[in-house]
Amino acid sequence: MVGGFGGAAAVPNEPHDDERELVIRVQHGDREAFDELARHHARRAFAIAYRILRHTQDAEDLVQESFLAALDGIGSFDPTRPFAPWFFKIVVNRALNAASARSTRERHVTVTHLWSSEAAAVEFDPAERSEIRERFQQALAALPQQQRLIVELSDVDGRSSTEIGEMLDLPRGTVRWHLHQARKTLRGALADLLERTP
Amino acid sequence: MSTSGRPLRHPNNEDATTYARALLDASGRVPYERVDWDVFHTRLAARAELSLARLRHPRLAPLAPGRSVVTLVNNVDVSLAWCEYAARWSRFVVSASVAAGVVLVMVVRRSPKDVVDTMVASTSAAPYPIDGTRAVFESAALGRGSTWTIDSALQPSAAELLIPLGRTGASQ
Repeated sequence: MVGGFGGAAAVPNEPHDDERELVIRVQHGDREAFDELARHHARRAFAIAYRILRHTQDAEDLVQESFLAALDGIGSFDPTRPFAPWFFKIVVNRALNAASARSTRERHVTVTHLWSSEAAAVEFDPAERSEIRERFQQALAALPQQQRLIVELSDVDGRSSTEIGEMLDLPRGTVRWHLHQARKTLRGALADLLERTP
Repeated sequence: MSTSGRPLRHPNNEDATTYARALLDASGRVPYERVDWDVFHTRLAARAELSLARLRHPRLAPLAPGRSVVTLVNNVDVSLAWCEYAARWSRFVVSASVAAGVVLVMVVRRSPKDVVDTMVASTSAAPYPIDGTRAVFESAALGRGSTWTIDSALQPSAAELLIPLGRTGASQ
């Protein structure tokens, strides 16, 4: 079992009345309420799962499994607490378990695929891009998984510290600290390149 | 989407732009468009049906998770009352029926033969001759020459059985 992120009561916000009502209805087995709750959280859950697993189909399956796991445990969930951190914690823990179960070879293949994906096509000349790739590959691989996830959710996906804190069940200050540390590490890896960039 | 906590996205910061490009190049975007979300939610709803049924019927689900829940799903409101009622009483009714059946079979198999046997046994197993004892008692009580017997004493005589019409006729 791989330990997840976060701790208790990281986000003290009260849940909205609508969400609380949805959760209560789901606790009574309401199909429409569950569908609405799933539609509200599915994309963010998919983003987390994809950032950890680096595989679309695996992330999709994992989100489904996470929803089913949440449904099995929702009877004991306190509806006065926000649903999102509790659910995303399930997603993160399951994704980390799945990632740790993968073999090193599979991870290597995934990373290689990632570098050749169309999504990674940005505006660098070939030599510069090769160097950036190499440095970032090393830098990202060296980051703790939590920092890597946070920096990607923030600087690539554009999510706020508050939202990431809610997703990962972390206090906002902790998210910002991890973000600062990750950026510092990555910038250090890019220092030489940034000096040569006009 | 909120943009707080993202100082590196400042458009005038060229270092930040380079950093953002490099990070995007390294990480890639989340491929939301590769997921058919309608299919995703349809599939999820189907897979969640059993768990939702368990939540709707928390008492029935642990007893028969495979059958009861699935059969209740399509007609929940209508079948809830009698299903709960049947589930509540089914154990008692089945047990009582089995016990009653066993007892009935035992009684039916025992009764005719054993009753006859018991009657025969009780008749033949008397420890003394009934008729002899009776004759001794009558002769001792009434004397040897008397024709009176217990039967004649207990049964009404022919005169006692006559309807008293003769008295009216004699007077006339």
